Amino acid sequence: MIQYVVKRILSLVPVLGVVAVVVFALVHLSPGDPASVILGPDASADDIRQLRDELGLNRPVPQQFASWLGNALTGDLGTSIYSGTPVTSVFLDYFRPTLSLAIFAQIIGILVAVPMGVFAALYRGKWMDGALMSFALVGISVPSFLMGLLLILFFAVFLNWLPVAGYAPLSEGLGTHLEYLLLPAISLGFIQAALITRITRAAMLEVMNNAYVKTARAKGLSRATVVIKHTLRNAFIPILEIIGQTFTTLIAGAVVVEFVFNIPGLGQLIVNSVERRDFPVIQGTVLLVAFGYVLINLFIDLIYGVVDPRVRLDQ
Amino acid sequence: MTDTSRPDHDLRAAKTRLKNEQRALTLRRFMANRLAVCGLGLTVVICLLAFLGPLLTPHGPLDINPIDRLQPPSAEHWMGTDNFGRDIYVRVLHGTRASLLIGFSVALLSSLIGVAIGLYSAYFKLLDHVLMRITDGLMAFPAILLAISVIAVFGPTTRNVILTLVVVYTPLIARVVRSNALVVKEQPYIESLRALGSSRTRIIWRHIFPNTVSSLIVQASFVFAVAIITEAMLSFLGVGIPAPHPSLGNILYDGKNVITSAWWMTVFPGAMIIGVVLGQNILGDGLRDFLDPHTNKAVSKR
Repeated sequence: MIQYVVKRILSLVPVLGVVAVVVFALVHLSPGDPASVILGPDASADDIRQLRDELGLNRPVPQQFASWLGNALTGDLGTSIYSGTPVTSVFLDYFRPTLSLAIFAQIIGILVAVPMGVFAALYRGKWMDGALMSFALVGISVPSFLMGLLLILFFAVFLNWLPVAGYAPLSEGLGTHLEYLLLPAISLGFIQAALITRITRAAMLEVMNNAYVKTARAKGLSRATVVIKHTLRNAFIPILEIIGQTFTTLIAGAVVVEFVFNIPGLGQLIVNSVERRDFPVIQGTVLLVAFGYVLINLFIDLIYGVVDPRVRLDQ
Repeated sequence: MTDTSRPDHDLRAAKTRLKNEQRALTLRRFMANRLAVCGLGLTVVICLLAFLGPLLTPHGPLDINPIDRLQPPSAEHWMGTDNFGRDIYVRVLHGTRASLLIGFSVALLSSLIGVAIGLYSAYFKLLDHVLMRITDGLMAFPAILLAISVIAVFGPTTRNVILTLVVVYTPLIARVVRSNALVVKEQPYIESLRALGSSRTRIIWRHIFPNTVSSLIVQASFVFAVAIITEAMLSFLGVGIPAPHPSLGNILYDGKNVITSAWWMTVFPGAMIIGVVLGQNILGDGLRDFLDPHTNKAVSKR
């Protein structure tokens, strides 16, 4: 097990390396000089020269990359040009609502999708399967922000339940917090649910073909026990896998859904930063979200290692 | 003389007949696949609408008419007008055209690059290690965040939108092609080709590549759909196709500010996005069943 953990962690090094190079290159490969890109077209030559010194742009590129990477590894991603506060603390402030939303949406998605996928698999080829799968097919075709707009239209315009947008932080109580997040989480959870339903059904069908499921049934176990303890449990690995893989889609969706519901999360941060040309913040946000994706997938791989010992031997 | 050419001629005729028969069979099998036909039908209808539909009204996508602003759908403006008095019907169709072009370019370019990466990394082990680590790294980025930052640096043009989406979605294609190619590469006939002295290029492109085409097509149709969604998101956030030019995303953005009074600015472009993406997703599912009957019907879209 320890060997497996070490191996998995070591395999992250090149991935994180690529992530770091891309994020670094983003600003440094820009046409023209990063300093003038940051300061905008109206900056004076003196200002540009001063910023170049500050950013260390006069040094050779590999050296710049090394020092940027060194800082990033110690958690220093520079300071926001707009507010002057460290990028990491700006990120964390805005990340909280996004994370709440993503987790809430994920929970809704799983709660809806797993039973749907299981029923579709059990009634394979029957009308129930057809209905659930058509629903899922439509579901993956409705982008979450569009779902949000349609929900607002329905609740604000047809039912007159105002206000439908806004945000209350967790400190105002869990109830209020979730109340504000409910519609955004449904918008985001909908497409997630559709995706997980499809995966669950496929995974269930695959496991149901195994001989041990037949054996379990033959030895007189009830249908529910067979489905829950013997089939679903084994089908959970692909489900977990898709949950890890869709982390970035979920965060990306959350970014746009927040914009729809005026939630002060990463979406607002990044849109505002683009308008303010606040490159350190943009760079830092992209880097940290990619880092989060890598960590979540590491975590999920480690869970497999515990749940399914075969995985450890695989590599 | 005629005696020898006779069976030759017959043989050729028989071959053509067989070929035609096979083609007809394939066509019939495709038509029997309801999903694929529905998806293709929906996509074709939307393409026709997007390219011919604007001819049906006298309005242009950029014609501003302040007197007629925010009008509900009527005989004059079929889908109503926006806050500048522009005709939503024409704007939605022009936006659809932009979406289709972006989706198509992204699917095509990332397929071309992804196929090369996938095939060569399946064939050369050392290259595989390098390329797969790079694709792992690229897959860690949420497409939309990377696209926003690229556009923030390089400016919001359609070309930049396309290039960024290609960077983000090429790994999806490369992965699928590689995993298929790895299986094919182990087949005995590839080994015999090598023993017969076929060049690597010939083996890779003549003998391995054709076996990866079916899953490539399926994956490309999903990339098409995802690219359209991402572009709509970017334009909705104000960093995609730059303003007066219509795109489904920026019509929705304009509509968001007046959502309580002008439902038509949200419903029509929204329905169009769902239509385009649904068409692609249905087509993708159908093609998968058609091209590869062994895969499970409900396997993920990744």
